[in-house]
Amino acid sequence: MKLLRFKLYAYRNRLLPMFVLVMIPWLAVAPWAPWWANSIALPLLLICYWLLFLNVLPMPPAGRRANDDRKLSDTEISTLRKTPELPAQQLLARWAMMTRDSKLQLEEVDQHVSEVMDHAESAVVEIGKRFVEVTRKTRKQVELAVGLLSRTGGDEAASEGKAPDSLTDYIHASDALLKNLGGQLVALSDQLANLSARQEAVREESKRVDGALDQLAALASEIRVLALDSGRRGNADNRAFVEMTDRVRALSLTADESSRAIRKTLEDIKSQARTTDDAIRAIASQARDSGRKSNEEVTELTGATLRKTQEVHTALGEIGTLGARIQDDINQIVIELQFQDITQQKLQRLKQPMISELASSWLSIFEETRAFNRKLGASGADAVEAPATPFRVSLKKAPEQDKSRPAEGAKESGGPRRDDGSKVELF
Amino acid sequence: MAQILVVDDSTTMRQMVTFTLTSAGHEVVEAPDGNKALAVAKQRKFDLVITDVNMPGMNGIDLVQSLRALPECKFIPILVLTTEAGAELKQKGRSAGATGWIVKPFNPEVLLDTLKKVLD
Repeated sequence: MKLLRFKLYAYRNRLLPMFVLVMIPWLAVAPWAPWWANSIALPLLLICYWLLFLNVLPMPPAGRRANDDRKLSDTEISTLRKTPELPAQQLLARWAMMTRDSKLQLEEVDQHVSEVMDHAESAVVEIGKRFVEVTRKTRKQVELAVGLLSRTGGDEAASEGKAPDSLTDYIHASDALLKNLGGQLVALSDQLANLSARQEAVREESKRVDGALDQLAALASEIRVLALDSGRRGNADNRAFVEMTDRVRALSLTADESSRAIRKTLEDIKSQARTTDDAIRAIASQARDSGRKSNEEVTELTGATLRKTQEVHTALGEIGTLGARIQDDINQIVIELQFQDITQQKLQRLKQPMISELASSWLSIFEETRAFNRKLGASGADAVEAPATPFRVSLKKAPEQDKSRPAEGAKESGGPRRDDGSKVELF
Repeated sequence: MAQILVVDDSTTMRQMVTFTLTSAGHEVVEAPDGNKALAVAKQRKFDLVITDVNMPGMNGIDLVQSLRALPECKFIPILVLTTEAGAELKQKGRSAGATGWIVKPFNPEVLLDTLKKVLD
């Protein structure tokens, strides 16, 4: 029936002209033939036409269809269409094999997808952990470095109530101590200078004593001369007076000797005072020079240290700037990791329904094929190597069935958006 | 510094949110789904809750509703952090009692700014 229907459909436009051509000889003689001849000839003619149409008229060539196997030639397709029962069994056998292969491939793909997703998830989790550790350590380093120069020892020290002085504070304290030392040296030199001045005053005083001694010596000399003169003039008159003048002379000599001794002592004192004064002056001068030099060196050293500290501060500022940039990079990494996670979640949510739907389709086709194969008969059933039981695709570690799918938004618009900032809306 | 409950079924996402919040000095407690979050919220008081929408078991909108039913969570800010950006779902979240809606992927700075706003 299929062949007849196919031929009728293929020759539908030529059926009438062909019928007319077959009928022309009969139509030519029908008006002169007796009625009984016509009544016999007409059915015979129709039977003849039918037999010609069925057995003599060739099968029209059919064009290739979209679902035809491309591996087969036109002739093979034409042959298959002429004898559909036998090729149907072959097609079913091939279809069953393809179904079985597809099932295996589907299971393999499912397994690979699950493995890839597991690896990706564990990798992202590990990256996240390491990343968190790295950022914590970096922050700690910067805090410690800044704590050296800042007033407090970082957040931890502040939280513990400890606020150690910074390096700058220590430098300033050292500078103050050294300056104090220099000042004390200068004060010492001033005191020494003062002492030297007092020594000078003593020397001046000793000079005055020296003058007095000179006067005393001169006076003793005059007394002695006066005593000699009185003794010469009063030698004859008064013995007692002579004795007195002798005593006066003796006293004068004693006074002269005493003044000489005092002078000598004063000379010694002056000499020693001069020596001491020179030593004090030298020491004072040396102390003053040392103090000034020390002050200058301390000032220079402090300036250099402060400049170095400033450089360190500048470097730490740059570290801080780099830290801010690192923070930006960290933020970007966080966003990228979220993109990865969103994509992974989307894949997880798409995987199960999609593969389940595919498996369900394959199963339906398989069942239909098997039923069709049974209808074709026992020989056809033998030809098809169908699996004994319908296959099921196992979804390993798939998300839960009841997990709702995204209703709209990024997940349904073909993937996550590639913008950098979150959209916030406060109600 | 605030006590914050972060609810998301994705480990990576929870980790990212926790990292951002702990870096700013907040204390974070994580929950992988709505049911566990609700159980934690009953045992402990939080200053803020951040939740995803699409989660197994109890979803984010239901969680917001359930949290608002708890006396201790009636007035705390609840932020929804999700990939969903549809107006209808946002309206559902708002009706359920959510304080704000943040679309993933979030920028850490924006998240912290938003937290500051809602906590102040």
